Amino acid sequence: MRVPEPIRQRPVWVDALIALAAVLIYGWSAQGTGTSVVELVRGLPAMADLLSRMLPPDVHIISRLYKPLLETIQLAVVGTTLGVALTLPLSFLGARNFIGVNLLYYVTRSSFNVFRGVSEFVYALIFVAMVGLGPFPGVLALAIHTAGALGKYFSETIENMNWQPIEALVAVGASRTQVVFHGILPELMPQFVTYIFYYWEHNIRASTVLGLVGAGGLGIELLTSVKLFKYQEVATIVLIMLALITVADQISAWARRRILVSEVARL
Amino acid sequence: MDEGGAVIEVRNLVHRYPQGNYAVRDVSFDVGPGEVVAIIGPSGAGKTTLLRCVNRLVDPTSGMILVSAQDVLRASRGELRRIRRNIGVVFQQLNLIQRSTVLDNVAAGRLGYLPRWRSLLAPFGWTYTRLDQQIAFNSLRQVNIEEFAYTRAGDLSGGQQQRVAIARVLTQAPDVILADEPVANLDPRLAHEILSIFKESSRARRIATMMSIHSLELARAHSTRVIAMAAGCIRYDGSWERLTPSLLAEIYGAEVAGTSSFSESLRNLHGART
Repeated sequence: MRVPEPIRQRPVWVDALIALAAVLIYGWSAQGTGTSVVELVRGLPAMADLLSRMLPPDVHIISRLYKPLLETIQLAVVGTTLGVALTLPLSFLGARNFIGVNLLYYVTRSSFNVFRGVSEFVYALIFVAMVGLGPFPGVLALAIHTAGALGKYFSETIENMNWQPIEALVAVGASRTQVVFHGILPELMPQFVTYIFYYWEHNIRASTVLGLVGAGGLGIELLTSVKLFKYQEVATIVLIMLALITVADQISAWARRRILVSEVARL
Repeated sequence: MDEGGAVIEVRNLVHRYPQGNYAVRDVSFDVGPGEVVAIIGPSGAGKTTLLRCVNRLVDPTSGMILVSAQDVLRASRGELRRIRRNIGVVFQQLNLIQRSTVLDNVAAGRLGYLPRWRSLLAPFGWTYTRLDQQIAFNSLRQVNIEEFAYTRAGDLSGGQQQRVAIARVLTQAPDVILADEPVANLDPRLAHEILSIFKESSRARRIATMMSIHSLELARAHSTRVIAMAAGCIRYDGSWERLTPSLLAEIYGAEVAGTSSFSESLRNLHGART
């Protein structure tokens, strides 16, 4: 009679090999990045020194930060809006159930991957070189990255939606355009808007530092103060960034919650 | 058959899956104006596929379908749109755009008549003309649901949603209605009510109606003719009176026919006949 084989235990030497590999990878990465506890300890006094030079934060520059702060918000608003405007029509071409599996579908989906695959800072660097310093290259960078990320999300949302009501519209003789405006958009609007808010918040965070590559917003002020060793100013700017991100986070969370609650209550 | 010729003509219709098995094999029939044809048969007999072929939600493998003398299978995109607006479809469930109002869902029955560009005005609610809205409202009134005109479809009960779906079909002013298990999720009283609406509107508007239906009693009570399918073929096509219990048992298979619930529904069928 055949005796069932016992559940195969992994031999100990395999475990040892995995552990060894893990140690080697960590050691290699730490060495490559210069991470060391000794360096950290040796750097502690310098850190304390820097922190002390940051305090108290220089509040006098707040009047100077007023404009860059608004610019940061505007950057995120315009960048997000432009990205959505760019990607909303495209996202239908990237939805298999809407357009079918064809060349158009693959081209659209790959373009989303290219758009979102590169960091917005890399785009900002490129656009600064193309159109010069200032918030406009920042807007373009955010728009492209947003278009890629939201396009992928929108397309997948369309693919995952319940298709029966849409088929009912096709059955009354509705065209593709009519299906979009009378079926898909009404059904998916809450999900789309929720995600747009989420991305706006993401873009606020990104736009605070876009200035580091010369693309507008608070980041430029930060860069200037750091270069001039004005650490009390640096402290103020970082605190303002923190406040801005916190507020944006709250607004976005509130808006998304409102939309979700109003939808759940209807179920 | 009524005077004036058939509204639906199906000849040698075959639908074969890529894997090689048949959903529908060599089916031919006519449906005249005002007729209500119940399509019965066990699950997997090909009822749904047959219905979906008629307005080409599914592309059949071969055969010919004429609806109001228009060739459905050879129609171009634009022609197909015009054929489809003439065919009302009621599905088993979830027909409606849940987040749109009842009136919007019903007015969608006019979409096949409207130029495409008008739907760009949808965000402002300007897609439909006053006349379209009037037609939609009249349909709502016919199924007694006008009080919910501005309610979201998703907030309605299953029975109410099915009425809205029927109102949308009436708004199309179609020559043909196809219904796939339209009352499968409704309680018996609602089912009778909904099917009465079908029967009444088919008679009054001379609509050729085909509906697949599981309950033999409901089918018997609300149709003028029966097509019984098994394994993709039509096994019987004609009046209810001549559909014998032995043929029914054959169609549904001996095991099923032996069960008490089946023989009970057969008895009810006999009762309904007298």
